[in-house]
Amino acid sequence: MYKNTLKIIFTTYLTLFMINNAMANTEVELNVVCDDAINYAEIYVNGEYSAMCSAKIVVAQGEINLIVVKPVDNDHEQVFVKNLFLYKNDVINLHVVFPAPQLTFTAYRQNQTQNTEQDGAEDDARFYHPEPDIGSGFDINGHVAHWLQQAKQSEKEKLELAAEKRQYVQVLIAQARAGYLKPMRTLAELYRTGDGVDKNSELAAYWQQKVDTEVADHTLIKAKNGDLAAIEKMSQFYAKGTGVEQSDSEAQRWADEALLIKNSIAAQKKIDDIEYFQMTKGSLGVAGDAGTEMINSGEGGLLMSSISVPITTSAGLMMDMTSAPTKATQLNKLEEQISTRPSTHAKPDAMITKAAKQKSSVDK
Amino acid sequence: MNYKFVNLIICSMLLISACTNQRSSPQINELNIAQVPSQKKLEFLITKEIDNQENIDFLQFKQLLGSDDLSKIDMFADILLSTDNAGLLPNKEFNRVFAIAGDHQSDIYQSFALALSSFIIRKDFHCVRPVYQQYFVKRYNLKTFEQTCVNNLPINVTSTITPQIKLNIDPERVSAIHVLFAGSGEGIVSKFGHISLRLIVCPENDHSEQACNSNLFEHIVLGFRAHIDEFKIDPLVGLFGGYNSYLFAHDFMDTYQEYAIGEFREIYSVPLNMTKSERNLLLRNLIDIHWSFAGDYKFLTNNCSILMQKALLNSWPNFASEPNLTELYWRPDNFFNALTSSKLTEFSKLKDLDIAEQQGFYFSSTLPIYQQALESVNLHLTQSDYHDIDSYIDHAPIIRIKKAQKDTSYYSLLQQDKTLLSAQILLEELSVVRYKRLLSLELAAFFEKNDIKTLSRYMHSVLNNQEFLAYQKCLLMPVLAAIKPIKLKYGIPQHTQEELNHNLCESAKKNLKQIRLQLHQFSPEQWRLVERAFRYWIDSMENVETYIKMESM
Repeated sequence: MYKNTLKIIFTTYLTLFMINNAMANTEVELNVVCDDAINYAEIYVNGEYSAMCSAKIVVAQGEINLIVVKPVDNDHEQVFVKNLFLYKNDVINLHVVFPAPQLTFTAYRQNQTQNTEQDGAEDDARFYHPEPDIGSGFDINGHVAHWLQQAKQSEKEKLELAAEKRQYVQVLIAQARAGYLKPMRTLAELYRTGDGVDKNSELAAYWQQKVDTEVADHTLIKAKNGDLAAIEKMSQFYAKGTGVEQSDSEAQRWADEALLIKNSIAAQKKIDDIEYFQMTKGSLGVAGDAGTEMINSGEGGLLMSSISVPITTSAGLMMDMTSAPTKATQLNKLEEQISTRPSTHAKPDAMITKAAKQKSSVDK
Repeated sequence: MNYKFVNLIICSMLLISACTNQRSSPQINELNIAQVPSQKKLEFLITKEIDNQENIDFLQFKQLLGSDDLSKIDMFADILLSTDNAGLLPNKEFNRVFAIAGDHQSDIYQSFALALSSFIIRKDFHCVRPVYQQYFVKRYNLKTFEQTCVNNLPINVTSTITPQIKLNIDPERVSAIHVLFAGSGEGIVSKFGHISLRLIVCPENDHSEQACNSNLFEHIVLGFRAHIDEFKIDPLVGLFGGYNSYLFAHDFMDTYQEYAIGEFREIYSVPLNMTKSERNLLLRNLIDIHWSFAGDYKFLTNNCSILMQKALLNSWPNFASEPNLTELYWRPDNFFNALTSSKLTEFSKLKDLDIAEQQGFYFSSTLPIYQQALESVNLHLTQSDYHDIDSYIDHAPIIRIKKAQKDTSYYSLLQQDKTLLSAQILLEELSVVRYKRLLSLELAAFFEKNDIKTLSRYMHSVLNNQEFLAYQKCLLMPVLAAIKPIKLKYGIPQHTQEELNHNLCESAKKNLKQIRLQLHQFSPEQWRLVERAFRYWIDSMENVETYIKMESM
């Protein structure tokens, strides 16, 4: 009996204690568990960076959006998304199971914009003007100076400033996550110096690596589109391992590419100078110069198909194969015959036939 | 800042920048200069812009006027590029003009700044960029006086045999411009025909209508074409863009051979009704576009038909005001029908196609002629395997001639029967046309599959210096030139050039055999296809020569 009474009292006390305790606490403990094999993953709650996974985090009760992002490589990441409604006193253990890797925002944009000049310009805009209006009203550049001014102000103001800095960092993270380069740089700097955030060399290195990778990726796109300056940069990146895996052979490959393009530009300039401003012909329909033994750039390809491949260049290359006419004058004569023979053979009154006769009399 | 001095300069500029075609009211809509008399707007804008630039040396600027120094034009363009004044920025109308006259290598702002800079500085701007000239005169409502261009019009003609050659056409020799329509072909691009313009170029010493019309070997065809191979085309790229388009110029006889002989298509050529001044304006604008325009080619939205309509809208006022032609026809056949249904063309020329063929307004497909030739040959061969024209061509040329020579009764009949011999030559000449085309396709495929840069790198590694130089001169440079026709930043070339006979390959020909071997080494399978096509092309030509010798016996 005594024991039973004691048990009831203890249980009632415990229940009352728990209820009381719960009523006083509106926060919820969330234990986000990532697989041990995962080296690095970031937890975002309602779009704001919270912690590195795995971690126990405390969030306010109510509806939350939880995102855990694990980078896979330069272009891919695994993103776990979960919407939860948390009640006070909840203690949630959430085991993160990542879906298949997907393109990062940046890679997705690059895929979309690759090889299109217009979109390329947009990409440049993202790359070089990384201050989108995301509704926060923050002017990222202006805030550093702003903080310096604020540093001398009162304790209360300092607290407000600290809160502002935290908010600013969240904005930076959101922008950096969206693929903007400058916020990535700023984050790397902030984590390195501990300005407005807890000093964290690991995160500083992470964001710096992101910056290097972004720059290298962007440069690679330009390089693949034949941008000489970008090609030369790629050679330097590979030589130093900046944003890419260090590789002397790749560095040499890009250096060769740059050299080749320089030669091509020189060759093209020579074509500009010679082919179009010096190779003037006197009249229409007249064959190439009489001294030409090689017919080095016929344009039948353009006329008939795609690349105006120099048929007669080929004729020149293979002239040892044949005794057939390889001189431009002879070929032109043959071409004239080919074009006019059907009419002269079957349609003596047709204009083509008349033209053939007229041409023949002029040539004589 | 000395405004009077600057205004003096600008007034001089405007007098220099003359044009032949004054248009109606200006389209400047910037509020800050709304009260400025329209004639002064450009002066005002430029003056204001220069005033804003602190680093301009005005003496230097004065020296720019009438300058042919292109670097100075660039310099002033850079100044204009930094403006935020709406009056010195491209407007909607410029968008329309840029769509047909821009090189699309620079963005619209850069192109506008360069064009405006050239317009202000160059005294011959109306000759080199007539399309932009008309735009600026209209936009800034400039009063101009008649000023002619003395130079002939250079055209970069793409020919079958010779390298791209620059011809100088005297506009006085162009007696008419025809709309040229090639009927439907087998390829997906040519299904709805192809439309272009034909310049009727008169003989130098005879401008009579008859002499001009029959001077086919000097007529020029100007047409927008994609830089693609319609038999190996990527439909998605064609639909959504990715191929380059240019306003190509071809010899008319090459065009005739391509369509009427190579593809058995019909060609209609209908004169455009226009006055001499309209014709001269259109001609100069077309040549401007020919040297400047490079755009994206899309089958449905930016093809030969659409681009031609855009060119005509910008260059032929009567076309722009024709009610039936307000909509853009993406199908060339529909555009041709709409154009020939209007009063802008002499469609009556096509009423009787027999007469039209005699007068040069219609060119029939040559298919019936070749079919008849084949029937004649088959009739006399002891045993024929040639079921149709394609099966004739499919037999290797060397087999064909050996077969004919072994058939002694047929071969001796050829020597006696000139009509039969002519039929035999016809078929062999058709074979030349077909294998020339195949060679073009195989070479195209070779360079498409083997990246030129990679190939060059390989050739650099295996050839000695002399051989590599020969490779560059004889193969790389012509291919590079051919892949991308030269577009001139400053419009129609005005320089006087000496006629030079250049043969870049001449001194290097002793190295060509080694180059050929290395090309084979680099990609044996693909190069073998090129060699086969070349072999058959050459063999067909040798067959023709053999039969022609019999003809003259």
